[in-house]
Amino acid sequence: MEALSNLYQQQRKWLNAFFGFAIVAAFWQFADWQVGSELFFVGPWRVVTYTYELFASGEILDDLQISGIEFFWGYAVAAASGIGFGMVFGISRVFREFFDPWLSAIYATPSVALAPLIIIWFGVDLTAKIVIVLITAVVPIVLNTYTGVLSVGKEFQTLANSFCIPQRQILYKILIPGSLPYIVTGLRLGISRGIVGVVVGEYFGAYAGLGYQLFKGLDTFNMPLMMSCAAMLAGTGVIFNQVILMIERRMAPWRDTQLQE
Amino acid sequence: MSSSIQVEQVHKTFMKPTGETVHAVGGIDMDLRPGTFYSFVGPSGCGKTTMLHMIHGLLPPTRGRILLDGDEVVGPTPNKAVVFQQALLLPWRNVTDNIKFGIENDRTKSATEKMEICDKYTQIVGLRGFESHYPHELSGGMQQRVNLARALAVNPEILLMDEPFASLDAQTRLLMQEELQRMVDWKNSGKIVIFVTHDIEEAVFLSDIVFCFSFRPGTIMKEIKVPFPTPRTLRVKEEPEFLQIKHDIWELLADEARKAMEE
Amino acid sequence: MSKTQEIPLEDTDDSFAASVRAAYNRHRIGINFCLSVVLALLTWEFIDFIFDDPDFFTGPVAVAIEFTVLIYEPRFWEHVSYSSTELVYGFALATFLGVVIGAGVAFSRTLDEMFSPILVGLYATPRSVAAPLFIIWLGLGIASKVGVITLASVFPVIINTQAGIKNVQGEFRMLGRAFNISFWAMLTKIIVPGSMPFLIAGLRLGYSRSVVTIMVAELFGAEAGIGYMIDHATQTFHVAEMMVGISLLTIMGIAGNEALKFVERWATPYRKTLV
Repeated sequence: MEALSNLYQQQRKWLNAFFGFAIVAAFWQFADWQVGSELFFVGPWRVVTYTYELFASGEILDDLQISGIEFFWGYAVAAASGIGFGMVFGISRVFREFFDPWLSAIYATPSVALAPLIIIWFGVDLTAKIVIVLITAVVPIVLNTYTGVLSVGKEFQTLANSFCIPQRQILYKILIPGSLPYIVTGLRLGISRGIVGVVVGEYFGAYAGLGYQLFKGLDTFNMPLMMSCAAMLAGTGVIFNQVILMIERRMAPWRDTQLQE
Repeated sequence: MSSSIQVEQVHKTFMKPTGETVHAVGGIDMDLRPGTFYSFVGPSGCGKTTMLHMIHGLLPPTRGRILLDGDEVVGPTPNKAVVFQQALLLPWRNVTDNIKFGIENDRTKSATEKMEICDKYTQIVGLRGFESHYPHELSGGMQQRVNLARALAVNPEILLMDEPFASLDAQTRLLMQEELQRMVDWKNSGKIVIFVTHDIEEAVFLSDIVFCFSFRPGTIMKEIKVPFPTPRTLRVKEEPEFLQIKHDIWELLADEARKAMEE
Repeated sequence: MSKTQEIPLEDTDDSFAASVRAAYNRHRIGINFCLSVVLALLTWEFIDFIFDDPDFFTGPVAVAIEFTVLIYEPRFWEHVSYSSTELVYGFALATFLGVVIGAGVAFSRTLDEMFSPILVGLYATPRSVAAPLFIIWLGLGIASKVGVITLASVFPVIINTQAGIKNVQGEFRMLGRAFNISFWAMLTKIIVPGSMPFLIAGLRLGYSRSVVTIMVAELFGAEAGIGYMIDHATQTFHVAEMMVGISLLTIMGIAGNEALKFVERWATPYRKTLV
């Protein structure tokens, strides 16, 4: 008995996390039994088996590929341009004061609302969806990079000046590493927004994709398909988030990572 | 290689964002000789840090001029290095790379020479074994040692120190005062050291010459020579003559400090 | 270098140019703001002029005209009130649940260890993709939208409430102990005011999520609402009406954000407001 309680004390973090998952999964499964209709609700076990069937039959692979391409290109361009613009906003005072009202507006604007316009401008093909992912994912990346550059204190600028470091080196010796934690936060927030962008983009006309399958599920009352797609989209968010955290730990061993927005 | 500095009738006026002007430095003359340790001591807001920045070249004087070996100072140059009040270490660089910061761009030295310089100063400031530690893993005293080593690594002719021990605890501060003499070794290397501080005892203990600053606009009220031979040990602080000098300076500064407090 | 931003007084030039420059420097933030707004509106109108195709792009003038037409249509006001109701209920529910759950995981270590991994995991997921599920569960009406909005915006509130309470507890628990105050006094005098800045930061993030989610939730099927209106206008290539809808959502976003900033200044006057 004592050994058991010792074990619990030593490993309580992991054990409690496991209990937490178990409790949530049990409630979910229990709700499934109570509802008893696959048209209306499915439990975690059914989601897992259905997802397995989707993969085993191979019918989901095309959708994964299409959504993956949309997300990858949209997110990559968002990351590159977001970090770039964020840097410029942070560095140039004129730029900052000039565009500040627009940054506040962008912060408050629901960028997915622009999705239908993008469809009208770019048509229903791949480009439009990439642009939708881009505009949804880029906002937190720009804003966080910008905040990050501002957070690098003026005193580091003085430090660099007093050691005669040329202005262009300040960018990669001071500003980029100094704002890295904020950039990473922005990149992490951009992921889930980008995934919403994929789904919304596919709503406005698509022939494949996880978002498309989600709507097909809604139209055909295929609850397992919907839940399975939602779970895959959510899982993608978690996985990408972990990947970025891992890269950050590699690249930036000097700091402890915390979740912040 | 030894330089001298002439400060001639230097004034500095600032404008605050509110539009109000502040006369920070009001006509200072100084003649600084190599191989000497100078302190600027005075109340808060007496312009001593501003004077330091002007000698460094970070700020231009409003009037008057500052000559380094006969040439007017227009900006920071590699023969001047500064030790900041806050350590200002780059959090993403370990101890070695922080020390290397000032010499990275020096094309006259090879990579191995640069490594050797870093090693040498790591040794001098007593951080052997901590080379790969990041700043957040170091104590305040150790951070200040890195701060000092970073400045010394440039091998400057003029070393500017802006209240470098102000944020340290009292004991660490005493030890650093004693060690600083060995670490910088200005007598043999012919450096000019300028040390800004609030602490009269610290100024007297370290300096060959103490400049006492008045409250705004900062002027030099008195230039005091400290007669004790160097290197000094902390025991000097108990000698009657030391206490007398300290007392005299306090007498001189007390009114100025009161003005600063009432501001 | 120095604590206040000090501008060296070099310029004693009394000329007209100098006084203009001085006036610009004094009001530069306001002037740049106005210039920026005017220039953006002009650019927007200019693009419209270039394309000259109202089925493809409309400028601010056309959008304003469309708006003045729409306000006389009762259906338009139905959309606005529908979305506003969703927003108010969804955000209120998210605030309530967020504070309760956040406080729960902040005060109980066991709850924290059990559910924080799940909460943090969900925080990283695109939660509004659950919108179609809510339509099946709660119907096409307002309830499903409120559900999705709550789900989407509750997490920043939870995470920030928890962070805020933990932060105060870490800093001020000893102070409370030293003055030997009751739990109630600790809660009302230290924990609530101390975690307020974090909570409001969470509310601002949650609010912006809420506004985004109005759009997403209504796309998947709704009876009315601004998102529904935009979707409908898209099907009929009615670009001006779409832009009116987008502008309305933006205004809702900005207005709520400014209101929360105001609350922030009022509730925590001792702090500097950012963004």
